Amino acid sequence: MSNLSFPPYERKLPALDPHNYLVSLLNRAFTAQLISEAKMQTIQTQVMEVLKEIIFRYTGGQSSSVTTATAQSLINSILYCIDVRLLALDSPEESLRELDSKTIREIYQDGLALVESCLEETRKLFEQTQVSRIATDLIAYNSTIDVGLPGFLAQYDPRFLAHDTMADIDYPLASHCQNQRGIFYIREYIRKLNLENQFCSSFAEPDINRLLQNYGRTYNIDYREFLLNIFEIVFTNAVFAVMLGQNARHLVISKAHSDLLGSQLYSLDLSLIPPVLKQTVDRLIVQLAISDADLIVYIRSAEDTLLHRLLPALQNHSLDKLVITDHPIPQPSVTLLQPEPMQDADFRHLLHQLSQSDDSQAKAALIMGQVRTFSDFIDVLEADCLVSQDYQVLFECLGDLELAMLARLVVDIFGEDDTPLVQQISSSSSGKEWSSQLVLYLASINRERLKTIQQLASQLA
Amino acid sequence: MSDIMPFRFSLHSLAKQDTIHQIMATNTISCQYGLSLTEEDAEQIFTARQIILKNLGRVEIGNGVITQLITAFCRSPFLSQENYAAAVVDLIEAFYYIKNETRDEIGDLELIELMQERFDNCCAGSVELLVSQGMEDIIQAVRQGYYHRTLSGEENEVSK
Repeated sequence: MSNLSFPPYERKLPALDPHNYLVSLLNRAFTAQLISEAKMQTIQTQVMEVLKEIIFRYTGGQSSSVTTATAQSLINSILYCIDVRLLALDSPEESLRELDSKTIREIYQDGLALVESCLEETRKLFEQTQVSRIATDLIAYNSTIDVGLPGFLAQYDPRFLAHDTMADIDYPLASHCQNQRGIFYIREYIRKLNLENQFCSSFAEPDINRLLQNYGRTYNIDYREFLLNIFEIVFTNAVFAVMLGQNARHLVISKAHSDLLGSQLYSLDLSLIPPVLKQTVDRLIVQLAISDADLIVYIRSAEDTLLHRLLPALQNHSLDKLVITDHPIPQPSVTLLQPEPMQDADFRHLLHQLSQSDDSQAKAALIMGQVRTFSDFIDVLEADCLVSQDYQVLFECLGDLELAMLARLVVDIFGEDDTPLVQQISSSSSGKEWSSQLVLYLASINRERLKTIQQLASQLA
Repeated sequence: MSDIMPFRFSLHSLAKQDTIHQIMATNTISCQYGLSLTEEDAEQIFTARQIILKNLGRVEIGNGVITQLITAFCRSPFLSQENYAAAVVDLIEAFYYIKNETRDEIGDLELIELMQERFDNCCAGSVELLVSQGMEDIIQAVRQGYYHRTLSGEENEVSK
């Protein structure tokens, strides 16, 4: 068989299964009379001999039998290593020559060495992943990098489970790893993940996270819990940003800009979309100064995917679901927990203590020590038991939020203009002593603090 | 040329003659205890083992266990020439059954020693009793994860 010279293997050995290469190769070769039955039996016997050795190692020499499931898994591992070696050759002809010139044990050992080498390479690639990872709240992304991949790499054993791809990898890539199994699948996954991280490193992480939040708002989902691909979302908006004439790094697209983009794209003939998209991606690559050949190939693949999403979106007038527009981040609203108000007797006792004292500091300490609710506090202010200087000392004890709440009580509606808080309170006509004193106090504090109090007051419901 | 894929791996393929030869070779030891197997017995044992392995979902890569079992149990006072071949088959089945039940966590020789000790003592030569009760503490110890902790040391509580 060493002088094999058969017609083009595509004709004689069609459709070999890459996931079951040795078996499909031998069966096709046997059917095409390129290999004898005796050779087939020899190879089969040699595979079983290797299996015996592996079972012996697997059981540590303590057991001569294993369960059928274990034996099947071990034989799959052996065949995977053999396939790795044979698929590394140029053609099925080369594979048959290899089978003719070497024993199955030798081919298995060569394949095992390739698998171990791939494992080392994969570990190094994963080190890069940990460095280049994106700071995000996306659960699938984080769990894949923190748990799934390290767990797989820690337990992967090429001797007994070379074919294993059982890993908790939830995070979907923009480009799937096809026709790969075992460690070669994981290596390809991590390689692509690194390319995606490399692309996303051109953008500020807060911008990426804001884009993801906007994506969640667009689709009414909690984006953190969904199986989203960050690269795809970032790439898509970056492309549209470039189309709009923005810098590629500027991921934020306003509703107005999105409408403008829609009016331009909807008016184009669909046949013009592919060249327009290609030119845009060309500009994107230049603007982001991307020179890595692998990354450019990956981006071109993403361009193709985007084209297949963009064309139907234009046909269905649903571009607004593809372009993620910016939604204003809602200001956090302030919610106060209300403790129990004071008992009447306690309140009367407090008023009595206040009326007996002339010391403003002592009065303020009594109020701050016993009053727990805002309504009680107002009742104290309106109980005619404080004099002018008492108010100033008491307001001194209050924080920004408490002062904002008092201001809110005086001014029902704060204007959205920049009218100073003091002016707004002064113009209101509550006619109460404490509100006049509040104006005096606020007029005495520094501008920065006053601005903070005004912002808090405007956020209070 | 047949379209049926001719190349496949049979996990149950064994060299029959080699196995039978090894079974017959155990007679040199068992005859000291008044026990021996005929070639017909050896063939039946070989066939029975194939069926037992298949039924219990196991694969054997050598013939060592049969000869080890015979060599260990032929010393038992409870085996006689009349029941010898049948007892060997029963013991092979018991061995693989317990192997499954103990999740392959006990080596062949260690398991045969445990079985032999219980067969000759608490089970009074009954394979049925050995399978149903005699090894129960071992099986439970493995399942609860403390077999190696308690059995591997000198203070072997379970095997006492």
